[in-house]
Amino acid sequence: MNVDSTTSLSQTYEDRPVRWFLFAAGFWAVIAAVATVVLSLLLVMPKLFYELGDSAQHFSFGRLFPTQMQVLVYGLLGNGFFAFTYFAAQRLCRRRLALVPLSGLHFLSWQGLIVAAILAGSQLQTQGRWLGWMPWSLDIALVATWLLLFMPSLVITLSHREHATRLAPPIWFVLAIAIAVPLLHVVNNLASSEGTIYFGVQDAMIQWWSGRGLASYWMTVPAVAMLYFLVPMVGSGVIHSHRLTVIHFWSIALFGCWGGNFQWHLTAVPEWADSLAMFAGLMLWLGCFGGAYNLWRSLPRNGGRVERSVAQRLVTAAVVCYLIYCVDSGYMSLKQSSSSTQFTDWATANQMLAILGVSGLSLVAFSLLIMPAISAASTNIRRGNWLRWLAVEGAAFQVIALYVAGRTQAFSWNQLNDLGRLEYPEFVNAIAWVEPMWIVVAFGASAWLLAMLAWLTLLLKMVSSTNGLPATIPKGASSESTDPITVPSRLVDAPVLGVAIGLEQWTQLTWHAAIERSIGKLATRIGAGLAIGTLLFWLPSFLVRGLNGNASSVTQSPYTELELIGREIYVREGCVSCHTQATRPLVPEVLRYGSFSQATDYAFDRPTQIGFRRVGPDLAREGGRQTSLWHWQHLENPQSMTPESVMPAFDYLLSKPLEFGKSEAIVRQAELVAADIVSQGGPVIHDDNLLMNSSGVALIAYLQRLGMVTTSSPPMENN
Amino acid sequence: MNELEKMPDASLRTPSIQAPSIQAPSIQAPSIQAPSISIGNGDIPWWWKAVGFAIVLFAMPYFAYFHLGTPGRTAIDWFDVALAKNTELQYAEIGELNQDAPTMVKFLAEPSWLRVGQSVFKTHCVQCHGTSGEGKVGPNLGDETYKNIRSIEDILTVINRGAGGNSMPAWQNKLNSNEIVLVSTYVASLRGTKPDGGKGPEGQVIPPWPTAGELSSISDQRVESQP
Repeated sequence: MNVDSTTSLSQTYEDRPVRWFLFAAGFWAVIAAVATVVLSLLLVMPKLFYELGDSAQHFSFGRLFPTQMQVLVYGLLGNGFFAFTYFAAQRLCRRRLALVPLSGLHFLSWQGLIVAAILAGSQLQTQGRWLGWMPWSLDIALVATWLLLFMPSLVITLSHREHATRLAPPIWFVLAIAIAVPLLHVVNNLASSEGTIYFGVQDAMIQWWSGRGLASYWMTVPAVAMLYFLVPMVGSGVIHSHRLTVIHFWSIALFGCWGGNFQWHLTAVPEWADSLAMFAGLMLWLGCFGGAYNLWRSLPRNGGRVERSVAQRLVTAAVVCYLIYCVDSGYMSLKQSSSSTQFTDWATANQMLAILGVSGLSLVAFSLLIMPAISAASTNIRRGNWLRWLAVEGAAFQVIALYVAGRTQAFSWNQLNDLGRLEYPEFVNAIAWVEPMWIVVAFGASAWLLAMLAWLTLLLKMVSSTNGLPATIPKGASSESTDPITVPSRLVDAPVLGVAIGLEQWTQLTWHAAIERSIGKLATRIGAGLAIGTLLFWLPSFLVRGLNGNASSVTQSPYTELELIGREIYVREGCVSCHTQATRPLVPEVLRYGSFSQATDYAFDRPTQIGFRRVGPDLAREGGRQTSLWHWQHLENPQSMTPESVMPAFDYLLSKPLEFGKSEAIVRQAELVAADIVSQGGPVIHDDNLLMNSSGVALIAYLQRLGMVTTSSPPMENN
Repeated sequence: MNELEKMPDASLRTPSIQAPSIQAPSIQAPSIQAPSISIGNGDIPWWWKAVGFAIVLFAMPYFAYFHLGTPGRTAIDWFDVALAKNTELQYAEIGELNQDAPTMVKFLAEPSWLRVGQSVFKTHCVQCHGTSGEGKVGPNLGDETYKNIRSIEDILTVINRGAGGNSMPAWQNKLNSNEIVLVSTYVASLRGTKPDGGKGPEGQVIPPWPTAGELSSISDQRVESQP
């Protein structure tokens, strides 16, 4: 209304996509926060949904966990990233968004994808791979949305910027994400299409490399892009160091996919590949820590005398979280930390720190900061402070409690007594100890939920207020157009070779300005960096393939048809959310579970279910340790076998009939398992007859097979 | 510089991030609508360079040491050494035990070794037999009745080979020989402890475990009876 009539539309910013995506981020943030509260409650009250009867199965930990992760990643972080990109690309390039209608389609398509992912999950359609849970068709849709509906308007907006100025650092990171995410998605999913090319340990490596790499691309890099925008915005508009920024960026572009390397340690992955991963991880976290320090130095120094704004405090908190996250991730990259961090809640804490502390807080800060620019809604400083307080405390309580829980678990698992025996031989000991911390996590998750509700109300005000005015694009260059100046070498008069002087000049990285000027140069170099980082990994992973070949004594899949059905149930119920299948070569672990896992154990696993967190015990050597009747009763009511257990009941599997088809082998083995259970005195809890062709029987057949792949022939058929 | 500021509601459209009063006077807050990010020429701190060089310098000897194929340097080799040490710590005093009744009876009287048996029991057996052997899916081990056991060495057989179809799993390939002897002895020691919440009697009452004296007289008789 107040727009100067001489101002044409092309001279204004297009903020509708920003508003939509921000609001969607807030909406999904609330959903994800509810899921987080429920999941943390399930750990202390496994019978929370017991009253629901059969429909309780939809709320089991294993099924909710992938949903929570997907809503967090695609819903909160994904939408937040797009909102930021659409906002910052226009502001930093002084250009109206190109191809505006595409962004509308992009918005609808992205929300549709999230809904479809949730629905597919509820229909038990999962690929059982970390951040690759969605069915293949949805992954194709995701990549198509990315390449066709998101990239064109981004690239055109960037390349039409005025004066061909240097691209600002946030844009570098946005570009890296834009290139890496579709690539990693495709690689992660090549494994699960029909003509699969990965299996066994190689499959596990791919899962951790691209799945966890994807996770770090989603969970921190968008936040880093945001922080390189927010830190100067809440301060004096200056980023401390050009060189540290360049190093930060290229460490991510080169090694960003190695963020999940800690998952390899002491597993069946060959040791040299693991060492490679360790150093790639160290390079990544070294660069990132330099960047975190850079951001820290760029924060405004008010000397404690001046009151800080809400956004400024949130940005400071996010930078502090990022510093801690980088140090901890570097620590976790070390092989030697594996016994105390891997598979414990320590790794979960590290991840929650990234999602909530780094990304969540940055995103809330970003929305508060730009709120006045994109809507007529005003923020009340008191409400803003409440929101900040709840969000920071909520994240802190969850993360700190999880770190403490991780240390506690590691102590309980690994402590040996003076006799050289396990000090705490019962696994449930660890659960009893960490339960108080899980209660704190639930408390923190509730605070975070309140924060997200407060944030959503704010965002609701934003979308429901008038668009306000189309903001006019100011004239003038965005980032400085002058290049950094190379300081003359101090070595000129020193008796050194010309090469040394050249090198000294080179390390000032002023040459990098030329790359920053050209979107083409930047994009090709990001692509090259990703390719180098990929090859560094890719070649080893194919060498590992030969390692699988060493299992050629096992030429056929050792699993029977019934066991494969059981395995499918294991995958789709998300058992991997709480159980690992990797016994590491550590004395306490071998004393507890049996001989350590080797590549041959997984030779025919696809997707491998090595796992990432041990809420329950490792299952790599589970076969033959318990009777089938025990499994039957344990599935029906875990607490009747182990009172301290936090495992959900899977009674519905026991009464869920399976269509065996005409395969005699399946029926015969199912009969054997069922006969086993009956001969052992079951089913004693149910009065009704045991259902032979049930999912439960298939699952038990698989569990009895775990760890027996290379050690013996199928026990059932020998009977 | 900024046309927007001439607009009537400029305060709304171009907020400075801070209200002027709370912004340090020397710092000019950048406008959110016309952000200008400049990049300073800050130095890379010396400690960062030091850590970086250290990692790179460390990587090469690390790979050379661990991955040039010198035997004894893989994580598995290290583990083997640690496991051997652990086994020595556990059993150096007793060596490899015989799986027989005299050994069990001897260790029934040695509480420190029963503790080792108890540790094995708590790791592998409590899921079915309960924390103090009171019995769950598996039978009560703290009463006087037994299903598959007539004499003390039968415990070894049941643990080694399993029993009752697959009711009791076989542990022969999962535990080492000493662990089997010591856990069997621990199970024998549970007899008559009458743990709380114990399962009802299963099987039949069997004669008490032999004492060391009885066993030696039996073996003496055997020796004597040999020609």
